Amino acid sequence: MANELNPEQLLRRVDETGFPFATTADVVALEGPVAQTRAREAVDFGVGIKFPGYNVYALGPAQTDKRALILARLKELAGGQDAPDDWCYLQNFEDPARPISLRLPAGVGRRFRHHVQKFISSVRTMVPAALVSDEYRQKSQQLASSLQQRQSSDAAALEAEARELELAMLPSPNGFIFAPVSDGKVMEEDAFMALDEGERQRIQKAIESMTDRLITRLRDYPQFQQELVRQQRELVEKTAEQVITVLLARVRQRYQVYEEVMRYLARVQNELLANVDKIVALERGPQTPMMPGVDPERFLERFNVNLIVDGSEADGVPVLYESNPSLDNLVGKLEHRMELGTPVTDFNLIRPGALHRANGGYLLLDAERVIQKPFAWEALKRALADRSVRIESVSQLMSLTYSISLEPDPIPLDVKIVLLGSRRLYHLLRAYDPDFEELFKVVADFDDHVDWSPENVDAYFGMIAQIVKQTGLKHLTAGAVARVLEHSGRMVEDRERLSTHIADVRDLLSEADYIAGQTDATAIDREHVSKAVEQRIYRLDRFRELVRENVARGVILVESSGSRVGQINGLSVVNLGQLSFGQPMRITATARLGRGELIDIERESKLGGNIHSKAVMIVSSFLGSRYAREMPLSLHASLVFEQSYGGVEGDSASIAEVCALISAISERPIRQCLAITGSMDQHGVAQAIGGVNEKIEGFFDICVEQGLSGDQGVIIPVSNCDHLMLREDVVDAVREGKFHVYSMRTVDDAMQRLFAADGETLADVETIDAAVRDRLTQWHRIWRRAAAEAGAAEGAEGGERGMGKDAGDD
Amino acid sequence: MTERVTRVLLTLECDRLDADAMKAVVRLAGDGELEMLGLFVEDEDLLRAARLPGLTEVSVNTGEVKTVSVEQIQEQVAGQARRAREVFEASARGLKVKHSFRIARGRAVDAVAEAALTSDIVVVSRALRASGLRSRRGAHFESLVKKHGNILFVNEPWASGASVVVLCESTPTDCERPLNVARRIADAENIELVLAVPPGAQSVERSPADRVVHLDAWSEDAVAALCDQEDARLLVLPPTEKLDWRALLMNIVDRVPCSLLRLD
Repeated sequence: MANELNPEQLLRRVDETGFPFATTADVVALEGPVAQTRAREAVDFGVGIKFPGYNVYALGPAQTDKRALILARLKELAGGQDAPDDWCYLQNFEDPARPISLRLPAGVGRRFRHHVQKFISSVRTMVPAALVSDEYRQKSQQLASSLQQRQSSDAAALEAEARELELAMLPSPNGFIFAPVSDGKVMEEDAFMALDEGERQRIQKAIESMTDRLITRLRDYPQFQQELVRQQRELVEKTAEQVITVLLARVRQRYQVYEEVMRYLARVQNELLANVDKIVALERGPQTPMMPGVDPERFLERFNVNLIVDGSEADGVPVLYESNPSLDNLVGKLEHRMELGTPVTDFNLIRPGALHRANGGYLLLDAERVIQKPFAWEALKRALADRSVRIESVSQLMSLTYSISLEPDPIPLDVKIVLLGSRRLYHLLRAYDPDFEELFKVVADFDDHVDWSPENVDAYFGMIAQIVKQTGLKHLTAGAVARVLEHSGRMVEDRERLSTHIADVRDLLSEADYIAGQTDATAIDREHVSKAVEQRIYRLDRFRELVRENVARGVILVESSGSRVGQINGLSVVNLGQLSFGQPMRITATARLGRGELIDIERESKLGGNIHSKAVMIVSSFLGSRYAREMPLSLHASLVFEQSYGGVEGDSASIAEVCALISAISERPIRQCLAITGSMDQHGVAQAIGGVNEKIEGFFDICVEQGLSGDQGVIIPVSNCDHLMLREDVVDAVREGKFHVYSMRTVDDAMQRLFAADGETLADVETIDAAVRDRLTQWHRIWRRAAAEAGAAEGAEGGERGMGKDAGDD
Repeated sequence: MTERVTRVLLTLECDRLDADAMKAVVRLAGDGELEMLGLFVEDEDLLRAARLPGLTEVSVNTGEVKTVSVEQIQEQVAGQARRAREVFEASARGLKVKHSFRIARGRAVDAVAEAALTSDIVVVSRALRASGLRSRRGAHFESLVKKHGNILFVNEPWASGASVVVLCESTPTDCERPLNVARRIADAENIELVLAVPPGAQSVERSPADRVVHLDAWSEDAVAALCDQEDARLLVLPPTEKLDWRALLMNIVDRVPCSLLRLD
């Protein structure tokens, strides 16, 4: 028999009088999650085990706040550990296209950068200063003076020799000219031509002789000049080296324990000495007016320390969440600058990615976002498999390289990845990505709900207090907390469980806080929470109201009174994302003589889903086994969800369908004041369905619209009783006897209620069954008779073509 | 030389002027208005030689010997003059001083001497960069040796050196004018003023100099060595009978990057 449920069974009310606090101000905030022991232990295991591949995939909906919970847990674990090493990129002077990486203990990187900057800054000022110093100038002058003195003495000697030959040695714009002299002046052309031939030849020979002597002396001068240039160059280098050595000694002393640093500093010294001219040129300012894009200042940038991971202010190992896990944001990127219209880059433009920043610690990523970003998933897997981060740009991966690009040293990677994702994505990755299981060996499964136990209720108090503390909301009274618990039970549709969707609770509290604020309340009370729930529904309620309105106007036909043959009120749930609500639907059945065919019109019209089709087959099987165990089922019946224009899925209408068919076969009417939901097995045992609260409330609302008669109610499987967390108005109506909720264990229980005649509380199922059997037997006889007549006719025609399988079997 | 300079003659045979040296000259003028005359001498001897038949020129850079015509020489000299003028006028404009430029033809000695008659000081910019046997002293060296009057020989670079050295053969009182000029330059340049006196000279207590140095010997060599030792930027030389100006100039120019101001 379908038992009527009392009001207490319809809603688990929470009595706040037993709460050990007046408001959440008295409650100690809970830092960790409510329960989630399994997931928490999985995270601890995943991050604790140091072998490769033990990265974590956190399953479960985002509303569980698993990201915040994991972050909090990881920060807790990270705090006690030493900060990981710093990482720098440095110029590779031998091969600038392959910048070198440098690993230093945490905090040393920043100091090293500072000291190198300071050193280079000193070089920039001290080297040019040394090269204009008095000491340097005097040395340089000393080098030049011997050549100058040689020049003077040679010139004086040649002039004296020329005078002896009565010649003058005259400087010309390009060199020297020897000319004959007379009376201390260069001879006029006429006077020269007036000389006799012998004298002119003597003069000519003298000029040739002096020219030869001059050439002989000049011959050595390029060599002298080269030697002077070489010596001056050496002097420049030596002077610069002295300065650089002294300046570098301080840096060397500080970092002598780091071999790589010492090797790098030696290269720096060589590079500086090879480019003293450029250092000096910096003091003179830009020297390349024809190349405005080239800045001489850039020369010194090669000595920068590009500190990409700086652990100087780290407190423990890093715990990062990268909300935009693109390829660049994961593995880092190379930025470019324009020089003379061409994009160029260098090691200074290497930017770290999340993997660099989280190296040595933990990195949380949204799995779906990683997969959506081009190349990001592959890059992440490669980094985890190789245990190193290699900076690769999309252009490189697609072979669209820039004219100047880099291949920085890969950096060794030691990071724990926690992927946050859905269950569906987890199973898809497992099925389709062979690398996934190797790289993410640990699953942290976050429950959607926890048991409604005293311990968890206490934890819930702490969680609410934590939300209040974190978000700065008003405190909640004990009544408000009780209402939140009720809503939490409703969220999971279970009076024995509480939702772990912390994000939803946080949203509800924020909205209740707003409402409380509008009434100048100092704390959030029960009614504020209730109103927040109502208003949330109201904001999303337009479609539901439209459905109700159409029912009220008779556009959608739903009856909540009277009796009908072959018609029953089924219940469906419409899901609109944030809001789902129940909608009663008329299910009708017809039956006539036939060959054991049960037509599911939804399936025939391709509107029925697979589960629904399966349910109809179960119904057919049930009917056959119950009413036609010893004879063929000579029935042609059809089922349809009236005024359903979308797809129908699920098996929650199975019992309703069976009852409609029984009604259609037996022609016994069904009470329309009742609605029913529940699936069934082949033996007619009622099975639980989803959305039971919405379904009951949906029919209740229609009944209210059409007028509560006191007879109306809903029949649900007994296994759904634990899921009842109905609205208070429904519960009140039940309390007042205006509405009823019945539980059923079998189809028989439902039939008792549904087929009860006027003035009758319960129908006699045996009577109904007998009516069904009589009708089916009657149809079978008709069928046999028809088959026999058809056989005789065929025999008369000389053929033995049978009427059909049933007839033959019989 | 009066303490104030109003007319300056620059003998030009270079393709650039030391801006710091030019500023020093302007400072000598103090607040008074300065007029600067740039003089380029077209050497008559050279032009006359160019007319001789079969004239050859030896390049100081390559040692190449080639025949040159009078037209080529004239063209080259004109080019030198043009460049000298451009450099001079640009410098004078930069210093915002009144200026004029003149090309004189004749023997360099006579042309410079004539132009110097109307000038308070003759400034000799250094020659083209020394190359081969081209002397740093420049073509006007002999002219300057013979000329009387105030001469500033700018030995590039002017800005080098850390002191002004002034020679004083007798007592500081006798050297008052050179000391004042030297003091003014030292103050303007913000460098030390060193007074150099002969060996055994009486101690000088009330001198405007920052320091007094006794020379080991009163010779050209010793003066050049002192300038080297003191890292002199400028040697101020009052009229002296005991030192050979030509030998001193040769010593200084070839050995020390020090300019020289000879006062008449």
